[in-house]
Amino acid sequence: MNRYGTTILRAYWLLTLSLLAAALAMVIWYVPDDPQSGPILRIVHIHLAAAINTLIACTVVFAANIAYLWQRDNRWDALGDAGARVVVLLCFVALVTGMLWAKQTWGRWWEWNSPLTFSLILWLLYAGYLLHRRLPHPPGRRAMRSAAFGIVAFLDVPLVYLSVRMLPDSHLSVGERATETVQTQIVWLLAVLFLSGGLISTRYLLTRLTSAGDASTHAQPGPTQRPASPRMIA
Amino acid sequence: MNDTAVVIIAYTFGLTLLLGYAASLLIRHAQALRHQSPPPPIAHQNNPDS
Repeated sequence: MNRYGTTILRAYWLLTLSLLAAALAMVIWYVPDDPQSGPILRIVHIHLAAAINTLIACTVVFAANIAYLWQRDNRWDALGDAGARVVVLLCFVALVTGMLWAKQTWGRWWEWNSPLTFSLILWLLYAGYLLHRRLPHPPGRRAMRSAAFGIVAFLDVPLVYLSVRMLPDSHLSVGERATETVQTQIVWLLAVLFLSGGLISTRYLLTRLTSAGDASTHAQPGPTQRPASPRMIA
Repeated sequence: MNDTAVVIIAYTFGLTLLLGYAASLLIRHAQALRHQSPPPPIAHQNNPDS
């Protein structure tokens, strides 16, 4: 990465941190307490932002997996890996904050209804995707099998979305929202979108840097290294 | 438990996890960049006057 790349990365992270600070300040000082639910409704901002950005990151992984199967370019494999890490992280945040919210609202931590169950399955699928990448595979097969796994895992994403949209009674709902709440929600969505974009791109760059370092250290390709395809060289 | 305490726990948990991961990635990225960059030239190398 050249000097301009590093400067752009720093500016991006500075913007992301500023957005997160603004979002947090809005939750503390700007959003009024809900007249019915009280202060617990403030939890919705981080929960919803994490949940929506989980689905966006799943779409990034899905697109990277499709692109890998099409082009057999290891850069798509690295992007899929970076995206899946962020999916697992964000989905975990959404699940835990949802459980805290449920405990205060329903009086229990968990309920086996469709939105929650499909969300848990989503987390398990992408955690399995990351574990699958660490298993020993025949040479050149890891990326191919991971891409196929990722495409199958994405089938759960519409189920999560549709179960939340079509069965609102089985999920914690917010009802009528004040303007301040909507504005704060938009800032949170943007802040977590920037954060997840930064995490994916930094993880991707790190993988590219370390793989380039390994390639220069070991000039001879190892048995597990896949030879570069003509498209990748081009 | 008090609602406000639960909200504080939720935000502390979420932000610590996300920003902690971001910090670890940025540190490792900076280390990888430093490792990759060529060593600085040594002054007076092969200079018989030094």
